[in-house]
Amino acid sequence: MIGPEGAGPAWPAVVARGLWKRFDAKIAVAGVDLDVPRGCFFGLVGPNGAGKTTTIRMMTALLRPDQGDVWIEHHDVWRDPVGAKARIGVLPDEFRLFDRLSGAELLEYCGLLRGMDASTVASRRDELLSVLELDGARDTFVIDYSTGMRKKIALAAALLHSPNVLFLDEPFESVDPVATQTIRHVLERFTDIGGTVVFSSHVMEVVERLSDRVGVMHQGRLIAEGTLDEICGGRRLEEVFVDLVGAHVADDGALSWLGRDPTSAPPPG
Amino acid sequence: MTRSSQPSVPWLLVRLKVRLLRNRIKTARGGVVNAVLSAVLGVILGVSAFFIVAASAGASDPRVREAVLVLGSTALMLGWIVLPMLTFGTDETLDPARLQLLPLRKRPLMAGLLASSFVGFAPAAAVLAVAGAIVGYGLGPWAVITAAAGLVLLISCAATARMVTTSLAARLTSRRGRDAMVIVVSVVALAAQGLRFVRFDSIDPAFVDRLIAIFRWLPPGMLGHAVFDADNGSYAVALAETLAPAALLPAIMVVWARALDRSLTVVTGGLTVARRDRGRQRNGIALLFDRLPFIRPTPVGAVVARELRYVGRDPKRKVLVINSLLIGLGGPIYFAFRASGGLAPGSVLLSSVAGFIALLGAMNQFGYDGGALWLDVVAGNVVREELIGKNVALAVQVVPVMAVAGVLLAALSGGWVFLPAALVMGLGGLGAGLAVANVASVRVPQRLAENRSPFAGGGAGQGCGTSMVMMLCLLVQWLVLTPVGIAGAVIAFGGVAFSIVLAPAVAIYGYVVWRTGLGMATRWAFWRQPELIIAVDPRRG
Repeated sequence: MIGPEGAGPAWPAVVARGLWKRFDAKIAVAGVDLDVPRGCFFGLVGPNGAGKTTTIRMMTALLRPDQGDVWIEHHDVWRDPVGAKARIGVLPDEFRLFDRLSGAELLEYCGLLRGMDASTVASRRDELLSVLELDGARDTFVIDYSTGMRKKIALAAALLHSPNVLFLDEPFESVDPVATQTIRHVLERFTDIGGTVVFSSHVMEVVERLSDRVGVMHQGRLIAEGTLDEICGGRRLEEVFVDLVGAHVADDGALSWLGRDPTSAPPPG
Repeated sequence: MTRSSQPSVPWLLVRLKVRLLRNRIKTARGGVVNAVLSAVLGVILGVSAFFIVAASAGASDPRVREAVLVLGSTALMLGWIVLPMLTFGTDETLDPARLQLLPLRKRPLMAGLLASSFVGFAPAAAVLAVAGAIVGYGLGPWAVITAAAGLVLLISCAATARMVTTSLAARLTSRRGRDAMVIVVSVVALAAQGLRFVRFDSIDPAFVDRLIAIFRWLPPGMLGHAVFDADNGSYAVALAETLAPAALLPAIMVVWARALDRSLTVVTGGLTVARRDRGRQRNGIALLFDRLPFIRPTPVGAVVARELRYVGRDPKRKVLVINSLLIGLGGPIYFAFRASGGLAPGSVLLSSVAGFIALLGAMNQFGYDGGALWLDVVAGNVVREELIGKNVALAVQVVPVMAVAGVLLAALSGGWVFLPAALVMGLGGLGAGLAVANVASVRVPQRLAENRSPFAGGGAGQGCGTSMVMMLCLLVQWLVLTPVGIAGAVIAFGGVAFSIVLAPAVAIYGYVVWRTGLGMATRWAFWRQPELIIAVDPRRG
């Protein structure tokens, strides 16, 4: 139970200080400081390659930072990984699962591995499968699940041990609207009872609707962070986002060849 | 750019293949080492084939010449068909699905794929072997026929191999198809290992004659025989033997073209349906086994259960089990029947061969978890539980095999008195071996190829560099197992009385070494779990 100076009971659920990560020549994350208050729904947005995934992996003990510290509920992720991991649930990007287990078996495996007793595992398994509408596929191998079903079963595995903080990397990507709705309901219930959610997404509309606080990442840095009102000031998040990251819009002359007959011969020269 | 300066599609595909090979050398782990080793191997194989074939022309016995030409060309074609299957996962140009979205006409596409078949070290070795035949046999007025036969052979090999891989790729896109193929290829590879036990010096010449009599009528053998006949002056026969397989080429092309069409347009599914009859379950947990009540609902039990569930479901692990079954049971029985003057009673101690084979597969225990390992890592401090669980699961699979092998050998040799010692020492040896396997699994974890292709079996994707590290680990394992072997030899040759002291000593030795290895592995891995994930995840290579 350690933390940076001034750590008290009202301390944020997640604290990151000076996170750095470099992959060969590319600096993926260049000094991220972040506080996520308890019970907060925190949306992390940024263009592709901004460093969102790397940041989330470093905060969940899946990727070692070159520099910096992360505390989850006062537990230092890199000095007390067991204490920190007991309090988090994770849904990474592009995750693989033990996909030759059935959905039910996978949840049982995760529960037992965390040392939960069998009856608790069994009852939570049934409830999660039912709430996430996976009852019909409980005995199907995860390898045969659709993308949406995989996200849902991984979310169930992340929730099974009743974590304090959930880290979700692109939870709504490649997920159909029905599954999106289900996942959203579950996450809202989780924050209603005091859970903290940190999630990344490209879908501004979802971030806008769900998040209490938003962080905008660009080129490895957190260039804006605050409540939705502080960030947007009455504007749409998408507009603010495009302004912040300085989106490049092609000039009128570019791509002028689009619309030509693809079967015609290219001009000589 | 004018139209006339555009490179042709076949040429582009050949360049694509060259580029892919070059990039893999640059980017893959140990790519340069692999490339150098492949090149050296290709040169050695190619040059030695060249000289063997060329030198066979001077053999006084016509049967030797006939055998080299007919059986050699048949082996060349078989090799060419089988090899791409084994490397399917690493050669992108072989997978027609990757070219699916490009508006390519079939004729230039096929020409390009065919031409790119000749890019690489193995094809170069094959070309050298054929060149050996042309140089050895073709110097004379019949050179045209010999050269034509060689050319037709090379093209037939490449086209048939493309036809087979494309047809299989189209048919085996379902998961079950892929799984089945992994097992078939592995068993075939293992059967090929069995050839080592064949004593070539004792092969009956009449048997070779029978083989020639059959294979000379099949296309590759016929082409080899054409060279033989041309060499003997039967030009008309040689010409006919060259033209007949050449006439088959269009048919091969048509079948290949159809397979190509199908592979580019048809997608087959392979969905498993809910299949388990869910009756009563122990503690309401489906993962555990009703028949194995010693697997408790604990972290270790969860790992044991997952590992055992995977044995029946993951083709890579099935292959491991099949190998240890075949070698573990087959090996001792083979020795039993080969032993001259009756089987010594002490041979019961050979029953632990199955355990030894299983240990080979245990050197990379986290590699089999691959990208899913993060799921365990986020669960907290589970390295120790993981390793114990994996070790127990291995023992659950292997100990019964060792027991059956022991009983079989005891029945064959009458050495029942050695059976208890064999079992106790087998367990001790398993423990000592697992100690090294556990340390190797965390110190030199290896990435296994993703099972996306029908032919990527266990072990594919490991570079030669890591293979050398693995050899070192095996060496250490042998050192650790040496006392067990010595104890076994003392009991086998000195008498069963020694087992009263030595068998318990080996069991204690095995347990102590296992605990030591487990502690070393756990301490090493505890702070390095993120690195372990990266090391075994095929997507983060």
